[in-house]
Amino acid sequence: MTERKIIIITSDGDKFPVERKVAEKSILIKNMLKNLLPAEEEEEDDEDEDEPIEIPTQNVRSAVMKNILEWCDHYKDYNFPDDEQDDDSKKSAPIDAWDKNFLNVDQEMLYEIILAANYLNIKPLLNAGCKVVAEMIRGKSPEEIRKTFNIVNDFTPEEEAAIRRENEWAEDR
Amino acid sequence: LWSLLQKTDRSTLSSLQETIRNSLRKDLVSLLPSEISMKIFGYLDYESLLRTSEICRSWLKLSMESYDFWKDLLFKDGFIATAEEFESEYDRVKLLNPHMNSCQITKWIYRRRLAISKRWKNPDFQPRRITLPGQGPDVITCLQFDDDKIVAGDADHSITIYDINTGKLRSVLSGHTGGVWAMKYLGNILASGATDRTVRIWNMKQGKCTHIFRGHTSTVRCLEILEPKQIGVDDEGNAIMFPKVPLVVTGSRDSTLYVWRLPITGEDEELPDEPIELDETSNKYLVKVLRGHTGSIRAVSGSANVLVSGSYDANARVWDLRTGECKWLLSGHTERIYSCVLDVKKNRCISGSADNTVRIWDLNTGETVAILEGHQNLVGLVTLSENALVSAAADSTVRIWDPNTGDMKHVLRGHTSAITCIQHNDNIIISGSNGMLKMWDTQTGKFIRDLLDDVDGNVWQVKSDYRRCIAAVQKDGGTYIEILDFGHSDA
Repeated sequence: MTERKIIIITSDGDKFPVERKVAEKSILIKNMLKNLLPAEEEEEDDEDEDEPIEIPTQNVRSAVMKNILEWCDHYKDYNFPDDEQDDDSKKSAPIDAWDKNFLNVDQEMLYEIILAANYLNIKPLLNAGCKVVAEMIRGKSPEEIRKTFNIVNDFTPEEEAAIRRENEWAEDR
Repeated sequence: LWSLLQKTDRSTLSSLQETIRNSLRKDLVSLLPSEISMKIFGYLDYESLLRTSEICRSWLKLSMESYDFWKDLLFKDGFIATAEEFESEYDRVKLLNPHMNSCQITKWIYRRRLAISKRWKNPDFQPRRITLPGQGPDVITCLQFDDDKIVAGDADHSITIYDINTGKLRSVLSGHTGGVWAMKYLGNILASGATDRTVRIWNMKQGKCTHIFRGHTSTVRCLEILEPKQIGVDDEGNAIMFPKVPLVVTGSRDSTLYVWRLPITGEDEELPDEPIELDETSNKYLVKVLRGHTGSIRAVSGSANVLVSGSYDANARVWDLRTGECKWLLSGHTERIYSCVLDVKKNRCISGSADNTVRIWDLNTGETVAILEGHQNLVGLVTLSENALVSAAADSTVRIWDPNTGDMKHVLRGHTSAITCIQHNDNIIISGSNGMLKMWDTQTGKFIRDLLDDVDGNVWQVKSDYRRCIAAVQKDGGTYIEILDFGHSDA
């Protein structure tokens, strides 16, 4: 029994043929497929069996989708535990080394990957993306953080001093 | 543009790449949907989280948008263990600072708990100490305290209540005709069990015994109070609570456990001078008698409908209080069980035995998950926190284990006799033995300090919360209660 082909169409019209288990890393797509393919192909010789299923994704452009699918392919045989109880131990877990390397991209791409992971509902990728951004903040001075994210300090000197004062408690050890 | 790039030489391209990468830098945090930005902030430690408020206006706004950041950190950093503790502290601080919003309140709590936890770990910090005059030479068998009071039960029939802030004696609950060996309270109501075979219920505010329950035929040795908790939802999505009203479970040398409804009386309710005495046949508060053990019951631990009992018959039993049935017979120890603790989150329990081992049990299957070996003598005490399982034994060592795998992480050496009491959280461990009260770092297993240096007898009991350590000790031939307060100056 051959599996029906799945083709993901990006916002800019590119088509990516993918394996079902790769596509299903996206819970959004998984739920769509569930509706499109009820009760698994049970040897019903449907006339359109060879017709590929096309899934349009309006918000993700081709260059980003290519990355997303690379990630999904890497994890296609891995079952992520139910992410419902985002518990504390998981929160403090470090970023997976492969993910870290995978997400070592320019900020525009990182931004788009995070948005796409959110839209496509790929929680483990979204979490990894958020952790990478958190790593870019952790342990840095305000000036370093502003530089990292190209942020202009829009506080008045008085405001800034007031906030600093309020945060001073963290420094007394 | 493309053909232009193709004509450019490599070194120019290289510097161009740097320029491009830099020009792609953007304020991810402000541009992402705020729920994602919040998720990012949720991965930060407290120092970095504070920093986020100093970057720019939009970051400042985000950092103040949710109180979850600080609430999560309070749990993650081990400063608060239960939702109840968080809520009561939150309400207390809100009352004191009505102008603060929820984020400011949780941040304030974090700040204070952090400061206090640093004092615990600083061997040079001197906590405020109050020594309560001894009530005689007796053994203190049980101890419980809260922000208002300390309650101690002793082997000489009585239960004494002290004001925790002043150390003044508040009242003595007398009535038991034998040594008190088990005691716990919930709000204003205290339940106690003694060698006189009775269970007594007291109204602490009025200092009166309200009920005497008879039924046990030997010493009441251990006791647990179960509060109503949600155990599921019904078809219409409503919470199913169990128990419906608070229960008290008593374990005895007669090998049985009695389950009673806890009679609750109001602080100002008019009470008869004499307690109501009820025998087994006429007692409307008696819910069930749990039979099965063939030896004295030494330890009991429970939550909602699950109760675990440890016995001198070398078995532990798991009971479902909804039906009173014994769900599992946990069989494997070869000697008496002295201690057991329920791990609600993982649905496991842990037992310590005179066979020198600790066992972790899976309550889904009734099987042993791990046998923790290393102690050279009777393991009298086991305690559990989120990330650490701690055992203490007559071999004068305390051991720290990984609660997931049962792997031994640290052996704490320094005591010179059997450990008599222990208390711990994810940050510190306090252990007592003859003449010593020591404190250790839970993460590293390192010795931090001696908490008392003038004890010449036993340390009977020790209990602590985030700011205080309360110990019942023997010195100069008398029994004293020591209060060490690490949170005094900024209370």
